[in-house]
Amino acid sequence: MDSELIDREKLKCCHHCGKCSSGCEPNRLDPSFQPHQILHLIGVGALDELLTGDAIWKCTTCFTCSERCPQGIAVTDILWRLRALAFRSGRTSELLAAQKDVLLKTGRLYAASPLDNKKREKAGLPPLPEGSSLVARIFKVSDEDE
Amino acid sequence: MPPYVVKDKCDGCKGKEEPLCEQICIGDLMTLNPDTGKAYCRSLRDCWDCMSCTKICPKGAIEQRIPYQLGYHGAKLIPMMGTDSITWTCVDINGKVERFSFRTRNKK
Amino acid sequence: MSDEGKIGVYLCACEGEIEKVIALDSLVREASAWPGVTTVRKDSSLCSERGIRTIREEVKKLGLDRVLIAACSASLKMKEFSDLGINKYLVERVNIREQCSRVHSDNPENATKKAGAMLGIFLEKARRSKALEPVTVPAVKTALVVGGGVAGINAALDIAGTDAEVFLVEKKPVLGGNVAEFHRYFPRMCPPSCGLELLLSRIESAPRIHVLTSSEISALSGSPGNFSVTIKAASTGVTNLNEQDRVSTVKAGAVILATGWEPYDPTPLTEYGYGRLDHVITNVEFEKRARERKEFLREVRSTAFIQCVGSRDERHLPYCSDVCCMVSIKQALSLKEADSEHDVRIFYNDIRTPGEYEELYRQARKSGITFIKGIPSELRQEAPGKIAVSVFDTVAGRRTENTVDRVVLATGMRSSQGNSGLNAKIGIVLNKNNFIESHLQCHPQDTQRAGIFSAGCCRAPMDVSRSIESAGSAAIKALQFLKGEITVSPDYPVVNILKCDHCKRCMEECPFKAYSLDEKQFPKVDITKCRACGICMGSCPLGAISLGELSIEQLSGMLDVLDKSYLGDDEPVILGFLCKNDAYRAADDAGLKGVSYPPNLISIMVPCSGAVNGMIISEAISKGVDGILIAGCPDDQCHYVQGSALAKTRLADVSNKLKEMYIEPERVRFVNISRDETEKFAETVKEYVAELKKLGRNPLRIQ
Repeated sequence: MDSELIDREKLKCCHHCGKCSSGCEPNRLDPSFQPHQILHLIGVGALDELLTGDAIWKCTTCFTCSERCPQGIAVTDILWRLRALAFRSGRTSELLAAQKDVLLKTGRLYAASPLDNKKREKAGLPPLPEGSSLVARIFKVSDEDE
Repeated sequence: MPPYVVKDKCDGCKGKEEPLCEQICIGDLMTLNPDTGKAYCRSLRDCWDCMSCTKICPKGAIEQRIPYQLGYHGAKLIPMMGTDSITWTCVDINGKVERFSFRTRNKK
Repeated sequence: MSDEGKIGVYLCACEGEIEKVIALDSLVREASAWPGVTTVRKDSSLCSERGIRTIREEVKKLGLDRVLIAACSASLKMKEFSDLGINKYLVERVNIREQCSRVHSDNPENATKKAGAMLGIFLEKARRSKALEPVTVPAVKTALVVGGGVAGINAALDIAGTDAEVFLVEKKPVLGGNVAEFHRYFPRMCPPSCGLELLLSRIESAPRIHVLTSSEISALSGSPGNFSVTIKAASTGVTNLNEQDRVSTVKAGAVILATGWEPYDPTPLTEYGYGRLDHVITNVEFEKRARERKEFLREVRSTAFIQCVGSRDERHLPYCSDVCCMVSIKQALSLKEADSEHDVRIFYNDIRTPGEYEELYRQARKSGITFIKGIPSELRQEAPGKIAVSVFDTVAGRRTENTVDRVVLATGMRSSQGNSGLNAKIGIVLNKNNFIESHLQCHPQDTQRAGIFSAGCCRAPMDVSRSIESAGSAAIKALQFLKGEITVSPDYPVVNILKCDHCKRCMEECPFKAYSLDEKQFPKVDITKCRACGICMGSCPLGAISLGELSIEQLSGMLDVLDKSYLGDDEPVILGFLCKNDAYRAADDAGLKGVSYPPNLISIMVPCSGAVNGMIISEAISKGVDGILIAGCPDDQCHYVQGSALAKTRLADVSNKLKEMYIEPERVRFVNISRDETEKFAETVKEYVAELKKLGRNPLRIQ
């Protein structure tokens, strides 16, 4: 049931030309993240290894790979679905978990610096709020669902 | 017994100008509807029930509607053409099936 | 049964093999009593010299007008049985070995009954046959070659080596095609000026080759042996600005299409910046510039080649363009030859250098050319005159940044745009990649139009070597039509205009477009284009078309005469129509492979499963046959393109009709049988007999 999520037909067409990895920005920063390698690993039955690893969480979903793949493989989609599979089996990246905490606490993904608030004051805007009950509610609902 | 064209089976004789049913109809009643590309009978009342159209249709798309006085809803009369014979299947209102085969005299 | 005739029936014991299973003596007795049979005899070996002599003598002595040979399959001993002193269309072969004694050896009684039934129906077929002679049509000894590139030039020279004339038509003002503008050929790295010039000078001096440059085909009509081609020559308009294009008509016996290829424009692959970035060129441009000026090879110090640009790509050219790997290696070697310090990097997906071209690949590696397995995602202008190529090296497992002076995009090959235009004018069939479609793997030079052949890259991406070979094969095929006359076997179809109702289904369904309308709007077949597949015979709703060796009347008579209970009252009888290319031959193999099936099936060989007419099937059912089995080639392997697919449609129509008539639609069935699927055939028959036994006998049987 799990593997139905990934379109194996198209996946088999990949012959590792490497164009996806060549144009991948995350790969530029972290060479261990190689989309073409990930596709290959699915094909040789290393799905578990991928789902427990960090790699699949590094994709920024910029779609460059999918746009340029000569075989028309929706690489981004596959990465996305790998994440879904990982999540279903209760795994997630530490990075994401940390981000979730920040989001809950502050209602933002990044810290608000005093400079931001000063600029807002000058423009006549209220300071940035801390925390958000709305975000908490959203999390509660989606947590209950999954 | 006016002819009824089954739309799914009729292919307009592949879009030629005169479909076979039109060519064979003695009363010049069958023709192609230019909008749908399917055959239809232009004047059901004038049909003499010769069933030539039914016999010649290569897709078997034409059926005869038997008037209720003769056979009511359940009745059917279906011809199947051979090169020198024709086989009729008759189904009456009680659903009884009978078949009759005849030689035709249409050798060259 | 029709009029009597004087028929000789000959049963072969096949050196005892057939007689071990089939009681030939009882068949002799039975057949002697049949009307029209003048003599019946059995022989130990009909195909022996003595056997043939005996038949020949009896034909003469007894004045026989039909001969029935009950022996092995008709595909065997054809030579022996072709010379019996009687027109070969009056000789009927009955297959009592491969399809009777060999497969029903477990039940000799039933085998004999089946042989008797087979004799009966083929006797009726023989009664209705007519003597036919081959037809000879005068033909023109001129060939037309369209396209003056490498393939076209070679085809023209090959044909002019015989006594035929050749018209070589080229759209551009000069001959030589794409290759004339190139720097080097691989694998020997020779300049085109060498070989090509030799060929061009031979063309010039050949008295029978007429070259028409700046000319194009504007129309083509007629038939093989007698094509009529209209050629439009572009006006030069130099002296007279109002000069019209000159139009001329040429008669040709055969046409060879050699319209070639065009480079694929890589502009849509915007990530490579072709047209936007300086110093990004295509492989074709590299060739042209290298040829134009020697300095080109030394203008820069570093070059990157990117392979598979546009090829093997779903969004552009889905196929592999065959030559680009070799081209890039060739160009890289040229750069190294000019300057051994030149930094050459080839970014590839796979390197395809088949056969002995591998040597060139090895040479390239040895010369210091860097090969990196990884395709760059994009190119960036790093500085004036410098292109940044960032690639993930899949073998090293890490990214590599490259800065080069020039990037060569190994762009692919697409069929010349002229192909699509030609398609409209000539009606040849193109495949989904716009190359000329032959449909038969074993005849790559054919198009689906008789007398018209293809050579070179208009057929598929290929290099110069293969183009020349393909031109040769097209020329050989074309020569069959350039002998001054064409002899056509009388198997072609004949239209009975008394029955024809102008529905034109025959015209539409003919895969080779061999039909046209005559003055009275009746369909007329061009016998030189016809391949006698019989699909027209199968398509006619009125049964107005018959083939030379199998007519509707014959089939109808066979259905009358068939003993529908030849195995007894409880056993169903199946009539099989097996296509001669695959299914019939597969069935013939059964005995040798030790495979057997029940004797309830009698098969009739048809040229193509598409030749079976729906009316005949209906008639068979109404005359009491319990089941009909049509066996044809697998759909995409049908020798006549669409026969099997059409047969399935026709059967579906009959099936529907049967349903309406409260007859079981399972009484007609289609199966795809490939040449070696004998076991599948036997299984199908076994299964079918079992099913029909369950359904019971045909309700129409009692007549």
